[in-house]
This record gives sequence, structure tokens and C-alpha cells, in this order.
Amino acid sequence: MRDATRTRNTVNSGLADVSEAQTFEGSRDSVTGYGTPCDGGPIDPGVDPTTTETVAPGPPEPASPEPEPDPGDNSSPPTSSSNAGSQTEPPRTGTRTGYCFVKGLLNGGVGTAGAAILTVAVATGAAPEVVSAGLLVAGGAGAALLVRDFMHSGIGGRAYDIGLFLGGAAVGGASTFGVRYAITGETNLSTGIVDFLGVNKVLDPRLGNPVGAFKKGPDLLGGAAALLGAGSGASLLGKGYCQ
Amino acid sequence: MTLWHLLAAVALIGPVFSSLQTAHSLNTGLGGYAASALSGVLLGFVFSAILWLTTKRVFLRFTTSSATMQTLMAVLIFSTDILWITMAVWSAECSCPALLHAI
Repeated sequence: MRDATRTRNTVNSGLADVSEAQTFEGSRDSVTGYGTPCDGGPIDPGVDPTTTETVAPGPPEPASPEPEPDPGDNSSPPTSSSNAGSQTEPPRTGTRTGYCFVKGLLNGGVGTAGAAILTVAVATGAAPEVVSAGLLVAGGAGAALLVRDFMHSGIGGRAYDIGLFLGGAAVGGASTFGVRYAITGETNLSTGIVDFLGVNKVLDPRLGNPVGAFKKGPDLLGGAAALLGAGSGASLLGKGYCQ
Repeated sequence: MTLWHLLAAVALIGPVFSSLQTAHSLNTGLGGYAASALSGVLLGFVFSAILWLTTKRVFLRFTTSSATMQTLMAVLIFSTDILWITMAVWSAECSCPALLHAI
């Protein structure tokens, strides 16, 4: 604890110079833009509760003294005591949502493209079932992270997650054929959604076991979804501002 | 490897991640992490097995249906599976604090 006393000229209204002497006794030595219990404004929750502020008696302040803005403080402090605490910066939710969506779209596309390149690189030296199993685990983990993140995010974070999903789906769908070809070398692929969901493999017990499914490599929809999951899970690290 | 396999894997992994994240946010010790991981694995197995068996049964039921009907059912099941996975993650998140509190 240390005491700091400073005097500053706040208003030069032409009538008189009003000087204000303030004595701070607390753990910090700078004046923030937050209101104080004296003017009815919100109290900075980070302030030490033992902090006291004493204003030396002097001539009364004029009605609207504009406090000097702190250059390091981006918050908008209340400007008058009548509406202190209720005046906040207008929300720019739409701008933020759009920014986060586009950011997620780009990050999802880049992350999924990275996952596809990595899968192709691994497929050059590993067996199809190993690559398929790795893709399944990576895709499952990424998708689980994405689901959980979506459940816990605000509106900006959800916009980012939706952008991730769409960007990843676009790039994953575009690259799944090449990834599949790199893993199995097969080009004759089915295009029906029922085949994609594996209904034929369910009906045929010889293909329904997981090893058999992995040996055949990922089909187009499964591969795209796995790439999407892996890329999106990795892209969650770049969320940053969009929470 | 199909989308169906991937959905089952997500249903298995999702509760494990969720339990571990919850344990991390609760600042538990090593025992808390172990208990959370165990409960997440158990929940994941249960949710994943139910998803696997139910999907298989439903597909088998619609084997003789038309291709359009099978496609419609596939889309419906896919949507239901997504909801099921969300429920799995949520249940792990809810049960983990209760389990840690009981321990």
C-alpha cells in the first residue's frame, strides 16, 4: 500500500480554474474511467475493497465536467451522474457475428485442407485401415470438441462454429474423392446417401465389422465428415476474439 | 469407414472430452480427473452402443422399402444421431460435477 496524492486541473471554464485534489490510498496509482461509489457509477470489480478516495473540499464542480480520457482505457466511462451505470457502448452484435462467421469459414476451410493434405501424406506410407482408423479418431475427437464448443459459446462463438462447419464441409466435400483415392486407389465410388451411411455394410455381415470397413477406407461422405471434424477441431484453436 | 462409424466414434469420444473439460474447470486433483475420465468412458460406451444398435435395427427394418424411403430414413437418422451426441455430451457434463461432489 502506498499513498499517492496528485492534483490536476480538470476544468477551465472561463469563470474560474477549478482545482481538484485527490488522495488515493490503494494498490494502484492510476485513475481509471470507472465510476466510484461517490458518483453512483459502477464500481470496478478489480479494485481493492480497501481502496478509499478522498476529495479535498473546494469550490463546487460545474455541472458537466468532462473527465480526461485515459489513453489506455477503451471503456466508455459514464459522463454524468444521473445516468451513470446505465450508459454503455452500443452493441455491435451484427458486425461481430458476421466477422466471426467469416473468420470461422476461412479457418474451417484452411484447417480441413490441412487435414486432407496430412491424410494424403500419411496414406503414402501407411496401410488403408491404419489411415482410416486415424482419420476416424481425429474426426471423432474434432467433431466432439466442436459440439461441446457450440454448446458453450456465445453468439459470436456460435457464428464462428457454424462458419467452421460450413467451410470445413465445403473443403472436405471437395477433397474427399482425392483423399479416398490416395488411401485405397479406388475410383469407382457409390454416390447414394444410403451407401454413404453404410446401410449396405450393416446388411452384409462380412462388411459390417469395423476391420472390414477400415480396410475399404473411408467412403466419400464418411471421409468428408472425418476431414471436417479433424479440421474444425484443430481450427478451434484460432477462435481468439470470437468466444 | 462410413459416416455411421464416425457418428458412433463421436458419441464415444464426446462424453470423455466433456467430463475431462468439466474436471479441469472444477480444478480437481488427479483422482478427480481419473474419476471423470472413467465416467466419461462409461457414458460414451453406453451412448455409442445405443446409437449403433438402434441405427442398425432401424436400417434393417427399412431394407425392403423404396430407395426414396431409405434415403429419407437415412437423413432422419443422421439428424437424430446428432441430437443423441449432443445429449451424450450434455449428460456427461451434468453427471461429472455430481460424481465429483459425491466422491
